[in-house]
Amino acid sequence: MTEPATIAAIATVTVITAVISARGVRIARTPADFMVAARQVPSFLNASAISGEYLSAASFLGIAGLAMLEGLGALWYAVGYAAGYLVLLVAVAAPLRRFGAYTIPDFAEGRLDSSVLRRAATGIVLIICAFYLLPQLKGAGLTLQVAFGGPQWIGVIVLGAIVTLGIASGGMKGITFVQAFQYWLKITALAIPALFLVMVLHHPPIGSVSSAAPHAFGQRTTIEFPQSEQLTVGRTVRVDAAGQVDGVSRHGGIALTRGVHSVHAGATLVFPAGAEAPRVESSPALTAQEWTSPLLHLGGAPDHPLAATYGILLATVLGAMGLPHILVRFYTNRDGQAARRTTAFVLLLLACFYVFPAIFAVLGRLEAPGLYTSGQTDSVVLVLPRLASAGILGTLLGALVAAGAFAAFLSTSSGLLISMSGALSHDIMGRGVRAFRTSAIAIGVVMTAIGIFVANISINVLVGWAFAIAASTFCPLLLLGIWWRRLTWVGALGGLALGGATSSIAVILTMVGIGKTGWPAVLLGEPAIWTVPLAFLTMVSLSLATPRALPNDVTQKLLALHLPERVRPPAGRRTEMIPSAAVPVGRTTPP
Amino acid sequence: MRDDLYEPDAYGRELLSSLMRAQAGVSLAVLLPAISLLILYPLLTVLLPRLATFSVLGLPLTLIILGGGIYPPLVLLGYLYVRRAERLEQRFVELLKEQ
Repeated sequence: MTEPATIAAIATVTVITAVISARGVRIARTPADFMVAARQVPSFLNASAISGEYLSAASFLGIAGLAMLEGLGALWYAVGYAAGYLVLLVAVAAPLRRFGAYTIPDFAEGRLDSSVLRRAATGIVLIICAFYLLPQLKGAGLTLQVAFGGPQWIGVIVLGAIVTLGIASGGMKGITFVQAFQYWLKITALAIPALFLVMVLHHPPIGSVSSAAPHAFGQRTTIEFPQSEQLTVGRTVRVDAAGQVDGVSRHGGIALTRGVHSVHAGATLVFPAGAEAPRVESSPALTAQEWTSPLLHLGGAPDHPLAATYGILLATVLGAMGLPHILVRFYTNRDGQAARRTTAFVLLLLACFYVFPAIFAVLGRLEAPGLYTSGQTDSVVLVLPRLASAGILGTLLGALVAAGAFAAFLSTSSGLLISMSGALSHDIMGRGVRAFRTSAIAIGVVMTAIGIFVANISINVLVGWAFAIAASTFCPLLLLGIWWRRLTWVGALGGLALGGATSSIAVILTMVGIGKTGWPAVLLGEPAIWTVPLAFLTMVSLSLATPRALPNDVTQKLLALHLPERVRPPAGRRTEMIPSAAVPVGRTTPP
Repeated sequence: MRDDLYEPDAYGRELLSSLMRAQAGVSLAVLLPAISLLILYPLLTVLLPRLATFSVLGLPLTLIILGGGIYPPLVLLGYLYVRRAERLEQRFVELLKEQ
């Protein structure tokens, strides 16, 4: 299935991004130009840019897919992603801008006078970004797979190559204007198909999701099985089969009798309209009541849903402030007040966006039960427009969604790769443009290789882990660093190490399949619920135990964080703890 | 007057801590309602399981709340915070100028 419209849409997004970026680079040539320009970005434009960089594959594809799979409780992810900006607004935005810190390692070193702490923060930047980059690559693989067929790793390599080459050549930097464009593209690419589907598609009433189980195909449906499955068929149905079914190679019409059948990986079954969708072993078959439950059911498991819900809320709400590629953007605000206004606008823009994944989840549950059968609910946003209309309209809507999805991967992964290469080259490999390029290529290649192997983990779950690690490390560092005078570098280092280690280990144990039920599943799968308090406790107690490690000029540092710009000392005196001239080219996201 | 602020004497420290306390107060006044909003709904549905089965205008209550209804209060709180924080800073600046 080759679709010129989709190829054209994806190519257009890539080219527009490259062209606007290249123009922006010409305008701002030196760090000084860039700083001046940076201070003049209006709040609303800046907010669009932050939202554009923030809304990743998780928001564009993942939330709808996870909510379709595990029920409405998964929408807490979206709520947390947005609410995180309220916490950022009231506790971090203005002080951080006033302090003049450009990255979290800058803040750590500037606030607590420790280069060891700086390097630890750099290591954590790399870990968080890596966890965040993998789902973007998976999303790209999925998008190209839905559009063109073929294996998922093709899209992973395509995105990995575009982003790596773009950044290493200096041609694709996160210019404010590009990122702002990406936000509006993404919301358009979700809103138009969503509204169209709601109005035009002959779906059952939306309210019926809370009553009947929806498992019947609305139309003739082709299902490819990427992996071997056990199907439970409720009512005998005639299907067209291609591939191994029940151990026999089949081509043509067969009857699937009531009972359990095994389908081999790579097989295709075509179900007639009105047929009851078979249930599969690997994905949970939620009843209508379970599906509309407002609590999160991990992998459909009914164990401790309240704790799991709070775990996700804690991770997403507190993790948003610790995302390395987002924080850079706050520096492009004129002053602390502008940073606040920008953040408030971001909250508004995100709230508008997150209405649409919910619509796709509901329509997917009603209209595309085949995705449960094939285990591909993550692709619901991409598939629905094509199901809704077979003609040119379906193709165009499908192309629009694919373009929006690609914009999501492109903007987020370039922001992440810039942060990672910047951190690696600045703090580990030695400064300079050459080190930056080498880092970008090395990281790009390694991440793409890993990206090929994460195809089976839900996009949103991967992103949730990046947030959990951010919430267990940078969140306590920022909150205590800004609001608590007695924080010392020893305490901060201990908290970063313990919070980072425990949350990362929990996540890795879950990835390799340890702890699938009961409390272990919740505590390892949603580690934030215990690792965040642990990190806070460690930072506070270690700081209290090491009062001599307190910086001498802690009062000045706190003044730099909290004093409004209008009552700052006149020029010549230090107003920001980190002089802007110290910011090297290449490790930053230009305006 | 301005230079005093950057001297870490007792007066400067006192001024700083009163400013930080006032700003933290404004932040908490917004944060606490937001946090209770997020914590309360899941808890209520555990205590009153029937709540989750309600429908309004044919739509499940959970869909209405998580699919959009929870956002306007959050955005409103954000707006209120920006206004209050700016007013607080305005007062602080005026106070310093009077001295």
